[in-house]
Amino acid sequence: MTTKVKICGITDEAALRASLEAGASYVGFVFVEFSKRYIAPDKARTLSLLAGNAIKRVGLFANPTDEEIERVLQDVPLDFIQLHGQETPARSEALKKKTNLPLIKAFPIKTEEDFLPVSDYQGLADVFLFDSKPDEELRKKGLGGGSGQNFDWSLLSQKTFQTPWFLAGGLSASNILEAINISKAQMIDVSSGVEVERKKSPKLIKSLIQLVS
Amino acid sequence: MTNKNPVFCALDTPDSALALDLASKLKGHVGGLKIGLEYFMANGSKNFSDFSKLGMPIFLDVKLHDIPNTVAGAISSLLSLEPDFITIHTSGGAAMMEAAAKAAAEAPRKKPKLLGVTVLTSLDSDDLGQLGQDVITVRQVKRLALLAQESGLDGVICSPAEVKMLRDVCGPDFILMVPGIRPSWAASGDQKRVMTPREAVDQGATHLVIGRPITGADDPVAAADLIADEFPA
Repeated sequence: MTTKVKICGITDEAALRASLEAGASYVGFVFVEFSKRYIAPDKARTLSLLAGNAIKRVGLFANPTDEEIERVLQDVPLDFIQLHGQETPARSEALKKKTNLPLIKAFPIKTEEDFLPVSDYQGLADVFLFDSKPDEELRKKGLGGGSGQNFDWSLLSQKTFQTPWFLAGGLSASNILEAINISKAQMIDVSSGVEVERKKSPKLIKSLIQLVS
Repeated sequence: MTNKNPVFCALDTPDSALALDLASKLKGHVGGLKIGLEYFMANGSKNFSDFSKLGMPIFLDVKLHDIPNTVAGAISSLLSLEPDFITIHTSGGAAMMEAAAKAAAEAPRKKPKLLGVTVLTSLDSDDLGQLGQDVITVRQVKRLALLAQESGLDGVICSPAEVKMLRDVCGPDFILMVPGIRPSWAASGDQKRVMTPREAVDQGATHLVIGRPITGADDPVAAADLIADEFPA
């Protein structure tokens, strides 16, 4: 079975093209301003229009205000919003209603108890995303993810969810097959694992997607 | 890109009187008229000369798809209408497109330009998979556009998202006729999510098909003029 791939943190056209041509199912644009993969809305608009309906376009936010998310959506065509901060179920629901877009909710995972909040989002989030828990400093800023670290994939191996979910966190060509094998993920999210010197590599994007297709 | 108005107004109605009235008003305000299957199935070539008499370029969007002989015959039959553009499905294959190009070249007066339809914009990769075409949509679009070019077609119809890619791979002289465009002033809510006329032309579109933002406006002429204003003089 083919694994669906999301290439997250796209900031240039070459990476977008590589994702499209290799057959990624999702691309992510990061609208968290202090992220090193932040993309300004005007630039994201251009890339989003180039992606068209050939791929699902996800906008990443962390604890956004209504104004912040509105400002982005005014210009950038998106198919999903992804919430990567500490948004409560109520806040997530409000943002989902406001944007009228399906929602991906990210959960930082390190131990079994990190899965406890997940059930509160059942029926609310359209997709879950399990990412490795970031270090304390990043977490304080409200961003979980993109850290390039793994978590213990076996935490997922015995679990079933009624909501489709992405596996994220430090995935790359060197560990992806093992990660899928252990976690039984059907959807994966990669970012730093397809970068060379912190920049998305079209070659790595293509080879990773080939590996899991 | 010439300084001609790139906008073709889609007259998507079966009502020939309404279509003609709109067309007459829009003369000089749009670059041409698109007559599609909805109109053509209802009216055929009856009264078609009324449109021709307006002297505006006509894009006959009939999306022919059949065996080579039949499509070539259909093109020959359409030549008397003297359209500027006719669409055919590239998935009819190279032989079909070559036969169509040959038939078009035999036009006694005006040779219509043939435009290929690649993958219908309503289809995504999952839909293609259902059809047994286990392909990635963008790759299939690129492949069919290049096949169209090799088979002698003058251009393709493509979605806004495909313009830049096809301009890159098909070179500067290939016609890219682009539907699904909304002017920036018509953009509100969801509509801002699509490409504007200016953006599409900047990316390499040669012609734009715009329907409802013009035909559905209270004042279609003013709407068409507003769109034309988006382009540098």
